[in-house]
Amino acid sequence: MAGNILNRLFRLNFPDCTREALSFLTSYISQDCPAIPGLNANTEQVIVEICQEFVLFKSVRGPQKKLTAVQELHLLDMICTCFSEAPEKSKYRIFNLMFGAHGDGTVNLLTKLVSLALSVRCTPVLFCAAIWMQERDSLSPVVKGLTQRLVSDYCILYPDHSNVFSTLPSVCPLFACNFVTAVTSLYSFAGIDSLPPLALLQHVSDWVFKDNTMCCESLRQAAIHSAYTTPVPGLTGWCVRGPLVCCQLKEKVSDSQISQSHIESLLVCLEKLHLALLQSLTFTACVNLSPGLISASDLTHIAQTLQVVSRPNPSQEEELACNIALERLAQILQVAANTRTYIADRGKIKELESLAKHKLPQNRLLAMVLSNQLQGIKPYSVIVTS
Amino acid sequence: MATVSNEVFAGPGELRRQLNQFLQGTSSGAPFSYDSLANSALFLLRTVPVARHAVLEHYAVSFDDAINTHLSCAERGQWGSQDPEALQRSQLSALQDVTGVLLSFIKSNAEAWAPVVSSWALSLLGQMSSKYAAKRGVQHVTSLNEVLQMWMACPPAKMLIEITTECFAAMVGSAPDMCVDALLEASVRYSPYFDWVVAHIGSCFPRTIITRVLNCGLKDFCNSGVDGTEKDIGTSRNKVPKMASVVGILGHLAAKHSQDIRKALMALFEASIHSDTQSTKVTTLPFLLQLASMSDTLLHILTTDLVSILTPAVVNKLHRQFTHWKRASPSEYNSFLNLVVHLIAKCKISSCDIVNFILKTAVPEGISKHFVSCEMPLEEVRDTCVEIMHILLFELQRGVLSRKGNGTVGDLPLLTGLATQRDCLTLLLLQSKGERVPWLQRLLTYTALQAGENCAASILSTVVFNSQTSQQLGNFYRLKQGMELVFPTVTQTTLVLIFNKLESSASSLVLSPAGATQSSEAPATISAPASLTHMLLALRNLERIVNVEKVKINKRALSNSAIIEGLRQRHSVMCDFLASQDLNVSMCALRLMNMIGFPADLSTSLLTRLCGVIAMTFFSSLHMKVDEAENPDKPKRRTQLCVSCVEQLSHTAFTKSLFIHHLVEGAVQKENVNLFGGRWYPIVMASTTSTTSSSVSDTVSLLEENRQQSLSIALPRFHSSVYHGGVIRQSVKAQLPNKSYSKIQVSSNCLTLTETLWLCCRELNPSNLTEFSPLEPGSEVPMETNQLKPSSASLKQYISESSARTLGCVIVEILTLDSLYNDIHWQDPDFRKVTTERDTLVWKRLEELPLLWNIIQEFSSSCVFLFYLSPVLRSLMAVIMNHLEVSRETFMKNCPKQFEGAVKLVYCLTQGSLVPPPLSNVSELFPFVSPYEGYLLLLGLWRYIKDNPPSEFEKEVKSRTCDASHMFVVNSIIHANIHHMGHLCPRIFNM
Repeated sequence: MAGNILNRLFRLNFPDCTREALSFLTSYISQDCPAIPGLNANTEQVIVEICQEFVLFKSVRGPQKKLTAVQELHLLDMICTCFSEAPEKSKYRIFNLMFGAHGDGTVNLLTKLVSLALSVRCTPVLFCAAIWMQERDSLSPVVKGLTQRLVSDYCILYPDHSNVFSTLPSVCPLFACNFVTAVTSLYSFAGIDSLPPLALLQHVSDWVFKDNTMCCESLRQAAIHSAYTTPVPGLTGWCVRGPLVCCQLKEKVSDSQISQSHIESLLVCLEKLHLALLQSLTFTACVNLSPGLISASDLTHIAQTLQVVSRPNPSQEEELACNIALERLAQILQVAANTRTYIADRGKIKELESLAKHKLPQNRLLAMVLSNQLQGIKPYSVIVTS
Repeated sequence: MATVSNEVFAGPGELRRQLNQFLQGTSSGAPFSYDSLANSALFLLRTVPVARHAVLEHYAVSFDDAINTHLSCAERGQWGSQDPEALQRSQLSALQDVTGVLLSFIKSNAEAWAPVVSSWALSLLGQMSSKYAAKRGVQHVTSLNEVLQMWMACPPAKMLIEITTECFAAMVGSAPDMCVDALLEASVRYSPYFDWVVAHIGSCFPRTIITRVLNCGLKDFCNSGVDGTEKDIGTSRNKVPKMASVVGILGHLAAKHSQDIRKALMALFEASIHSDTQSTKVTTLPFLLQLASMSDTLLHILTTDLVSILTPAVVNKLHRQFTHWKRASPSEYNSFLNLVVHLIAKCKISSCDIVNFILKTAVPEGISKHFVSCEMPLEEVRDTCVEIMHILLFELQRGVLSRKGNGTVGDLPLLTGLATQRDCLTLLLLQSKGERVPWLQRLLTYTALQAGENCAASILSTVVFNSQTSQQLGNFYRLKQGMELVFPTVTQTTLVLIFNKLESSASSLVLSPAGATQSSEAPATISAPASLTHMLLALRNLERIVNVEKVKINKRALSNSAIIEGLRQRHSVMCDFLASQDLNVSMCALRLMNMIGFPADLSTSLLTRLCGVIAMTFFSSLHMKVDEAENPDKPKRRTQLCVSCVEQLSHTAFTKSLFIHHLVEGAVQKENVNLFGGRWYPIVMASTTSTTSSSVSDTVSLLEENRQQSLSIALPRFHSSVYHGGVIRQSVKAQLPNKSYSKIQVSSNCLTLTETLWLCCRELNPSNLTEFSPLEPGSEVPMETNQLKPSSASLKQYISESSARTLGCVIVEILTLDSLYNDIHWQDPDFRKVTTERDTLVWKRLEELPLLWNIIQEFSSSCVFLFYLSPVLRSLMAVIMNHLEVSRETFMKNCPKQFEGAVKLVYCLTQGSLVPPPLSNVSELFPFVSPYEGYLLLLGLWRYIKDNPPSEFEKEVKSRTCDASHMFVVNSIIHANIHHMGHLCPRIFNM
């Protein structure tokens, strides 16, 4: 039968062969992979081959078939349809069959698929992609590449009118969560060359502000998938470094291509984001998830990057901005500590304290919060252990 | 038109529907509404980011269709049937929509969209251009301009170009490298068909495109150079396909934006000099040269500026930069040198500058002089330049000679360029010393060989016009030698050119003494007429050349000289120069004339002019001699030259008589008369012609009164009546501002003139020797002082008959008023009473012109001369006799003038054999006789002559003897005075 299906598919032309192959794959995987009569040993292999030949068009035998852009669009459309129609339980298996293999060959197609799925709001594809991202680690280069392409599609090429992003958390919150994590690692907000596009920042701040659960979506999956990353550390980094970096940009605004108003809107977004973050932290405490949105080492790392960003002889505005940054850091730390949503580490806190004392400008709030933490960390751990 | 702003937030369902519609429309072969397809495509383009590639691909097909429709319609020549027109319209409106959307994308977010759209548009344009190039019938589209217009007339193509231009406009500010890279790549891929796109875009953004294109090319060149283990120039051309397109693009832009290209090239070069990275340093110059080698236009642009930038300091710096590279790859260095030579040979414009630069660098001048502060080229640099020069010369030689070999015209642009700047180059040659000279000589020779005979002639003439020293003039021979191999008649052409120049400059000098104005008629001369100094130089140089040629001829090294032959045909011009007001010029012309001699076949008119001018020069030289007494050498030389010319020219009767006329008449002219001790009295003429000159100031005219008197009283004009009537001393002598000349000067002048006349009149070895008996040697006595006379004593010299006749007539003409009584025969002695006035005037005139006495004496040996002169002699005799007849002095000696005159007269008559021997000796009696006895003696002579009239035939004259009847008076006078004349008896009587 397998030979038959292969032979049949080979005789068909593009749209039809792929459609056939997809329906075959769907039905096959939905039936829990029954053994194909006569070809027991190679069942897996045949399935993979069909996928390679007629979906990914990475032929192992014969010449590579190069699809035109229109055909590729057609292919993506068919895959989307396939995922929409496939039974819930087999969706990720199909996805995994197509894109699970490690290797760059399929990432390109996956990126386009995700982009189309975003456009047509194909939740299954987005969900699978979100899990794929989480499995691959949201900070890995492959994921970063995917993210960058998506940002370019929806924030740079089509910045103004994309209602796709504005509704993303409602379409697929997990994807939004992992996407934000990847975005924060893609744009570190440490200088002019690592600024997130304004549209993206607006969307992200909107998302976090409107849906306080979004940040912990990946944390929810931690039960199923061991690996997880949350967007909170990255976003905190944005909020803390943001004011100082923007202040520095303002000073040399004359020779850069960024306008004053652009910077102002960035700052506004960051303020909103900061508030949203604090709210998210508080919310997480309510839903009683295991702590892990942010860790002490994350905060220490942020403080270190802040120290890297700050310059030796700051102007008055810079001092002010730095003060804001430190206060935000203190606020996050305080809220996270009080809501017990962070992974405490006394050594890291101590490191942070010495950093704040010696390397960073003096900030009373931070000093208070830190001393409080150092004193109160014990009772907390006692509580936890007891 | 759809815009971005009226974007509808379509729901997923609508999206799916449009997507399906689009996919169906494009993929299925089923007929599908064109409009709805276009709509959904536009919708997708605006809303679905990932669909943009597909949509653009779809539109590529649409553009293709539209262009196809348009072209096929255009091919059919008409917009024929309704169907394609409607189709075309709907196609176009759809394309316009998408163009609008794309443009608005670019406007709203240039950074993101421009690269995407531009690469799409460029590759689409490239595909379309190459696809339809063949279809459109290449046969009637040839030039880039036509192609450009053709495409711009096609609306879809125009839209694409519009989009591309917009993209570039958006990108040049931020990411110029990217767009130029894309452009270059497309240009390489669709090479010849894509040119119009590049040209159009390039002309929209010339500066950016030029700079970027160069940078891209350089980057590419660097990379390929660094990667490749062997970077031979020849093979690197294949390796660097980008170079070709860089060259192509720059070539297109060069027409309109050569200034920008020049700036960009120079900026690149300067950047390389000051850059720190080793690779840019070493590769920029080869890159530029490589570019230049691939396009003549770029070569021209580059050479004009590069040479001026390459100062010694820069060259030294380059040397330091390249030392390592040179050591590392000697074979590469060699091919680089060859490339340089090849390029130099290809330079047409500013070729002179290039040559000058190489020379200057190879052999710097003034090492220790005023260049101390400047940096001198290093020794290695100099050696390299020398090497380049050698290779270059070798290549040029091969090129020129091979051209001669197979007859085809090899193209050597350097030589062509040098040919236009030959003057500059020639001057360079004249100024150079040492090693440069042979190089420049060879270069000039090759230039001439390449450019043709006129160029050769022009070079030679420039040398002649500008050489100051004989070393410089030496170039003339060397160049001529090289050129004559190919152009045998180059000398003649050169002479034509030289003389055209000389004439035009002479005429301009006449028009304005400063020589500033350019003469309008200068057909063959390219340059402005030479100034006076150049004229002089040229004449002097010609002189030197002729001298050398003559020496060669004398040494039998040369059979005949083309130069001398050529010059001989240009006497008329030289005649003009001789008449020039500038002494140096005329002196040069004189020397030259004298040196080359006169051919036998000069035309009559030219001879006439020559004689006149030479005579004039002769007199002016005498003036000069007197004026510059302290420095007599030059005028003396001048006089000698004149005399020599006279001698050379007077070989025909015609010229002889001309010279006689000019010389004798010139000598008695107002201007010259002082030279020969004479005085000028206008009265001589005024008495018969006009009175104005003498009596302007006088209110009472003595002359008028005299005339009235002589009219009223019809007295015969006796000596006394004439004297008292006021014919003589009729008014106060008008003192002319005479220059006083010393006797020595006067006598030397007289001698010179007489000698010259003699040279004119003499005749060597007359063929009819029998008709003339030889003159006595005594007649040649005055000639012994003549330093110009040929020394060969064997040549007997005679006064030619015709000259004697002319001379006689001339003198008679000068001395007598009219020809009324100019009878050859002597009438009765008493008849002299009738001609008293005439005779007195002749006497007076001769007194004023002592020169004429000399001449008469010198030439009296010719009986022909005396025959024609006899009226004058008669008048003289009459005046003397009149005086002696009434004189109351005791001795004839006491009337010195008359005495002297009588002696001279008798001497002349004796010389001419008018009076035979015993009678001719009466002059020896004169010191001892009283005036009246003198009168009687002269009367005796007169009677003899009356009986034996003068004759032209020498034989007849010589055969005459004196019979006793004529000796009677003589005898009786001797007898009467025998006490103090006894010793003279043997002279009179035959004892």
